[in-house]
Amino acid sequence: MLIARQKNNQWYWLGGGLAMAIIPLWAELPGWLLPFVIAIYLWRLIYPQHLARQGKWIKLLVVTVSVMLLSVSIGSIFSLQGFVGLLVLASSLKLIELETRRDYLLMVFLGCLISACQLLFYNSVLSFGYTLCSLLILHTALLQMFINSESAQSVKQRLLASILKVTIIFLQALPIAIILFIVMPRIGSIWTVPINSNVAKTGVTDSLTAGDIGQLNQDFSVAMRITFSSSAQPSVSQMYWRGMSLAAFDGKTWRRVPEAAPLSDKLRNKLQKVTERTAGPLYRYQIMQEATGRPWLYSLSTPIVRNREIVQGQDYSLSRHSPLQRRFQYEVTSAADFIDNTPLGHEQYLRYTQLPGAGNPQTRAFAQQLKQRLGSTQNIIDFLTEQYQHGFSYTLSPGKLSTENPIDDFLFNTKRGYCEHFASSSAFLLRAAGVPARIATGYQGGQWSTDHQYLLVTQAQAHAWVEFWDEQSGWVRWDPTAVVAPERISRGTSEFLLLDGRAQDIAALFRKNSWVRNWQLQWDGLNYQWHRWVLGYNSQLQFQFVKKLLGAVDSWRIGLLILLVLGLVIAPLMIKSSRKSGTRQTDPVIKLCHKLDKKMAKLQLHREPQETLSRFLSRAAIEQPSLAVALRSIAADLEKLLYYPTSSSSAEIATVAANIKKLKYR
Amino acid sequence: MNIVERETRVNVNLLEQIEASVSEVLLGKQAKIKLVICCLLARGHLLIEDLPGMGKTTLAQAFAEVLGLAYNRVQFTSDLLPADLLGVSIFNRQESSFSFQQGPIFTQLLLADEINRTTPKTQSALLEAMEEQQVSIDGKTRPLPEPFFVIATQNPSSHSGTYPLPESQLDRFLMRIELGYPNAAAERIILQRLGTATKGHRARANKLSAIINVEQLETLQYQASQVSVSDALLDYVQRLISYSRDNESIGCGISPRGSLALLSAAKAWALIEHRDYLLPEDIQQVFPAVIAHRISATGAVKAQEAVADHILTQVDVIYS
Repeated sequence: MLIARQKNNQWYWLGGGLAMAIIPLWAELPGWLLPFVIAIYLWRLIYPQHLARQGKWIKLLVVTVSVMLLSVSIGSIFSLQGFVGLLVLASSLKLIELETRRDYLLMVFLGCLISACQLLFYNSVLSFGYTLCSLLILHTALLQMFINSESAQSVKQRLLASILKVTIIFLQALPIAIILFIVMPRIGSIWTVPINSNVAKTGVTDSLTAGDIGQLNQDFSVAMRITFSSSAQPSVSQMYWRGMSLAAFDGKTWRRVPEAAPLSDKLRNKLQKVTERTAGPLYRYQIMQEATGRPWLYSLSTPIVRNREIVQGQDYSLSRHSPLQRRFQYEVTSAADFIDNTPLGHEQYLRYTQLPGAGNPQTRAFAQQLKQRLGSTQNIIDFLTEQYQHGFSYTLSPGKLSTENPIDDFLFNTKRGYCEHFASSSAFLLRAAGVPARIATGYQGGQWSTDHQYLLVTQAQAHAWVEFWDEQSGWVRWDPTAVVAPERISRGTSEFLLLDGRAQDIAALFRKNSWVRNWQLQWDGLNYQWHRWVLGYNSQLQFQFVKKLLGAVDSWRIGLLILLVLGLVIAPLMIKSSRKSGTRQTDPVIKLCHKLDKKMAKLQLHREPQETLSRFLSRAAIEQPSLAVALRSIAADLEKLLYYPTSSSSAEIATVAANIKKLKYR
Repeated sequence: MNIVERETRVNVNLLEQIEASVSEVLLGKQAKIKLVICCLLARGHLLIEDLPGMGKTTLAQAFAEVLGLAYNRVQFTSDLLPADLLGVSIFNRQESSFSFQQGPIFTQLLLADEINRTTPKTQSALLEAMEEQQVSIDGKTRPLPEPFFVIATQNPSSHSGTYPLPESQLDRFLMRIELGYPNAAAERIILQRLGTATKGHRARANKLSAIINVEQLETLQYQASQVSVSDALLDYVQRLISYSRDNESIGCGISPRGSLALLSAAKAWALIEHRDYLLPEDIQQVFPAVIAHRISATGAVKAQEAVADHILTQVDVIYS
């Protein structure tokens, strides 16, 4: 059957389904591909016959040219993008020779494959829902192939009916899909296709220059989500998610100093012992960090980890061997009161008091004065705290500082800035006064989800603060920003932006509305649960879940569960169909005919549909001469029962039934 | 076999005599002749579609003679007007009034030769008369004689100078048959007769004597309508119809008029077979002739009959 002859609108369904499948891949595929697909589709729609009749050579030429174009514009054809691109290209080229029913079915299945490909690139709840929708449309297109277009219903009724039917089929498949998801072994990736590494590097960097964090403040995308499993939790204003420490300063930029060795085993053991005690606050939590393209991980101080993938540095910061190309989940225990006051070695002392040879003379002189006048580190900190509280102000638009002596300019002239300015100048000042100091970067605070299940930290909460060395307490955290602008810490950046009068940003205005924020948080919560329970469903989680569900993990229990669910799905269908066929077979004479057909099939004799009983049985009599007499009598009796209405009595039916039973090979 | 033999009834053996008589004129076409008799008993009109010179007119003439019916023949041409067929009112000077001059349609058996050569206007005048059994002229309704039976012939529509009948009008014919070429033996006899007979086939057909009269024909038609049909066979008819309606490869499904035609033709066939009850074979025998011209308006007769045969092979006789 030719597709072109079809009167119903399956063309539009197929086109719509394919478009839905391909559009989300737009960003991953070369820009020309989608217009190309649309052009071929429209061409096919306008000249249905013309295109299908193209010669073999023209088709070959089109295929070769477009595959070459694809490989040139993607770079490497042997990447995930390359394969998906080939698939999309193949499906659109297939449109050219779409002619038979078989081709149409093939197109629908290709569409399903393409829409599933989307999940290779994006895996939020939204993209999953979208994929389901496009599968629904494609299956409706499939259904169009099998329904009678000339039935009496209107187009609208038919449309609703077919969507309803597909939805019912999906709902029937859903329990089976869920149970298979739950119990199928989670085999890791058997094969991998190289993904073109295009994870943008986001988040906190390992260097700090004026302006960097000011930019981050505008970015409200998710940095990480944290679930606490311990009942003890710090207050949000005390949550400093420390990433790394920056020790080297060249006058403008603070940089991280790569460490020669990780945390010593001795200290590591000491840390592990802390977890065994019962007194004192221990925070246990799980962090789900978004892909950053960098190896750094974040934690409250002082972190204790057991994960072998995670390396702990001498400054207790956590990192991974490889950058985070995708979402990463890890568990941390933090001991807030852990003290490491191992004296600094000479080399370390030099590192943490290192300053560039020249620059900012005013600050250096001021620091020397402080050291002579106040002596102890604590006194200097107290003095600075007081200084900051008077005359300094927090703003996200501090203006430009002098390029030669920026810290002098900030401390003695402008006195306006954000966390970076305060952290940088305080650390400089402390070092100039001979106190070992460094800058710590990371995030501060977070927002509780509406049900208080987890904490959401956005890029807007990126922060920098100071750590200084004290002989008794070891490294001590000191956040000058909290001193200058306590509301920055207690309320978070977004509200501070409004207070700051910089709310030109419409997005920021929206955030002011509590319901928008509420909705946003709930949506994020849904996504979080999705990532945690569906995408993060690994073999460990599977084992725990199945054990909880079934009591124990046995093959027979799992088998039984699968059978149970299958039974629940199939039973209603079976009942329905048996009822349907039951109504058909109420006529005892028709039942007899069925019996006869079955019996004759055993004798290797099959009745053709158009063959009447007498013709069939006389043919049978020729092939089985020994049964000829019996067959003729059955034929006569049964035809009489069937076609001569006055004669059907139960006695006669019984006689014929007995005769049929007696039929046997001799 | 239950032979219908009641006193009030007409002996069905007469039908076999008719068949034999007509066969003498139209050689080697017993099966087709039987179908024509069946069509007649089912009170239906007949359409014969074939190439020129296959004996269409001879068949019609022979039937008119053996049935003892009043017979008229109209050659349809492109300039034939409805009035030429139905009749006209003419002013009579002596009586100073119009008197109606009956056209050739006022007869019992009308042979409408080459019906697709005339214009749709005249075609529809004939087809209306066929359906209504009456003619309305000058505001007066005039009934046609009883029985009224039309045998129309037509050339294959692909021939030049034809106006193919639309589906809606084809539907009015109970059956459409194709005579086809005679077999070799029949052909030989036809050729041999050329030398011996003084007159042609037409004359031979005119010489046939009437076998039954009008009353007997009407009784036979009544007997055909009284053939009993079991539920199992009604189911079979319905399965055939619904298959033709649900299958997308069939141009248009069988209409209710088509299914009525199928059943009445099958009953007539059962009567010819000397039965007063219907068997599935009866339906299968008449199925292509009754159905082929209804399922698709285009295509050759052979192709349409192949579709009808296909339906038969796809639908189970006994159950679904």
